[in-house]
Amino acid sequence: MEYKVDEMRILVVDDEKTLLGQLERALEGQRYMVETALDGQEALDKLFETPYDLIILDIMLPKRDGLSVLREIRQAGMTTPVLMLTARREIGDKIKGLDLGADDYLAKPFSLDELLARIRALFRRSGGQTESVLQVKDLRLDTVSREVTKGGNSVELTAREFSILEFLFYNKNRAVSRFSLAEHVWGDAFDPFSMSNFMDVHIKNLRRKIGDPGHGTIIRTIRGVGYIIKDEAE
Amino acid sequence: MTVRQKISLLITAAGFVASLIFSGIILWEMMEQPLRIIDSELESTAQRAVRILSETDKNRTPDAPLFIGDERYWLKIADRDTGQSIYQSRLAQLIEIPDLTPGSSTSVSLIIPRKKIDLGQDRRNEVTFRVKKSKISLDGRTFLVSAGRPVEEIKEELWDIVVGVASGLVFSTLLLMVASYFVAGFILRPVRIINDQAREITEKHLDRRIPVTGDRDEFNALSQTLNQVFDRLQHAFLRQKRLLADASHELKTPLTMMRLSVDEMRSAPAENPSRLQAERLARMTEQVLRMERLVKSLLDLSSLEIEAAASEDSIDAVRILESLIDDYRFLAESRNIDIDVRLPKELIVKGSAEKLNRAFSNILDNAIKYNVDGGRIEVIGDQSGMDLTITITNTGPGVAEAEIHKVFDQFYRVEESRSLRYGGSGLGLAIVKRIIALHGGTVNFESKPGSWTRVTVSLPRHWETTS
Repeated sequence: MEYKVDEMRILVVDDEKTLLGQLERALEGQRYMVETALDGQEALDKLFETPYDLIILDIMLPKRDGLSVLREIRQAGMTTPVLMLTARREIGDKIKGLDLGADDYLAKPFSLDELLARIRALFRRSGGQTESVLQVKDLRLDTVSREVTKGGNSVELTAREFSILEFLFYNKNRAVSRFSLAEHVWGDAFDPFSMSNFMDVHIKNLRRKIGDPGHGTIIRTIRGVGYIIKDEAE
Repeated sequence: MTVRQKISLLITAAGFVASLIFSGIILWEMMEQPLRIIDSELESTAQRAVRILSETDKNRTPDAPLFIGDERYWLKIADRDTGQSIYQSRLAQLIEIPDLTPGSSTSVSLIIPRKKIDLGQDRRNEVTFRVKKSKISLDGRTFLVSAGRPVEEIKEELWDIVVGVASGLVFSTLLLMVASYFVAGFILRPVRIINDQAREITEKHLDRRIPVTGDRDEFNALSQTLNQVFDRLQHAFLRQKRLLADASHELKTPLTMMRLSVDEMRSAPAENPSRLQAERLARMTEQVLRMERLVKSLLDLSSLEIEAAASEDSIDAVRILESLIDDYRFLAESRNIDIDVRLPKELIVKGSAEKLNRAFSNILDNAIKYNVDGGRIEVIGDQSGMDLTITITNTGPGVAEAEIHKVFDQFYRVEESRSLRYGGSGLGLAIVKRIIALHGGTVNFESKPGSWTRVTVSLPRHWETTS
């Protein structure tokens, strides 16, 4: 069961007007319905007025900070998934550790690829999206059991290869850059410049394993940009 | 020369000069005194001889004895007016002593064989005479009397005194040297303590201060001044750190916007972008990503610096290293670099897996980046010593001897052309050093230019056995 993007309403809260405009445009480009708020109070007003499917909430906000907004909506019984934005990673870890009710967090600066992947992952995890399987053609990827099948046959992938494929799945129909892919897969401990140079090798191995050799019909290479997984329909 | 040595030398020199002057004066007095007594004895002997002469027969021979007591004296009496010799004692007949001007006295050294006469000569047959010439008038006649006597025993006694004083001087100087060395040490003890504390403060604990007592002496003043210097230093240091952290932090929002913009442009490019436009976008994207990486590293470093210690989980460094090497394999293979791994079954340390992963990742990344094509990397783990050590050696051209101490500095690489080629932030090893320090360990960097480079990480062993 595929979710319908058109119906997804996202509230984006950030005090930086330019960034807010950018996020709005980018998310609308992915056919989400986006509303924005510049401070914590405005966010609360909008949240208690209309239901949303996802909240993207910056921590540092004027009037009411992101954490107090989060606390208030959770106390009011609102279960809407919340993706916190933070400028400090340590604070992000703390939010997760303290279990304040945020579903995920993203440390600034982040790539659009990463943001969209997180949003899709959140939608799948909550809001009735109990189905954990992502599918393109006959390639299926289970985000919970971490199993991949091709035409019903199990495919053995390394943890890194699974991570690459999952990221491409979450960014379905969008070209993902080598660099943000490397950032996502290897994390901060690695230099993404070093790792992205060898993405082609990993993609080649991945294609071989999922029976998609050559330039690929499932994972396609977009020259000068990166990689894309497309639905059959397009 | 240390200050302690200088002080003890000065005290010794001053003491030596003072006692030299003192003993010189004493010695002078001691040498003059007996001669004055002898001179007056000679004077009275001369007068006695003249009196006896005038009382006895005028026609006596000059060598007829006078019987004035004994024959110890060297005596020559002459008539001043006629110049005629009136009397010569036996000694005067045997020994010739140069004539003096009347009224003066002197000491004369003569060589007289002992066989001729025994006057208490020394081994070289040398004997000293004290001679005094006087003009004596009696009953209208004037006599010139030269009276003398051997003073060898006195001279020898005086020599004993000189030797005594000199050896006393040497002994007291040595004693003074030792004593002043201890005194100087005692005086300088507070300086040493202050120095030790100051060194520890600059090297490790900029938040500590030198303890100040209530005494109003120079050392307390020095401590207070140093503490003020530390205050200012710490203030400047913290401000600089905070500035760096704040600036990096402030850069994050604009960086996010730039990143999102280039992402948007890339994923939804303009209709038919020219090759030039595409190139420009690629170039800009790369610079945005570099800046982002740099800002992240800066913030990581500043937050690592704030932390006092890493977490206390039991971690197997072997697993971390093996998984990292697995990830770096493609990178190494692309340049034909061979990775030789010699690790024991496990190397258990206490700390944070995430941080150690970061540290070893940075070291391995450098080992590949700065290696030569077709080179080698050796990863060796050892836990036979007190600490466990992980040595990562690569066959890269390395770092010149003079530069080695700088490799852990922030932005060390930035000025080198190589760093631009490989895109290093120049913070990698600074982060490594900080992480390892948080784990109570040390990082050592060795290099033989043109041949190899070795990074050795020592971490305290975690003795608890994990089940």
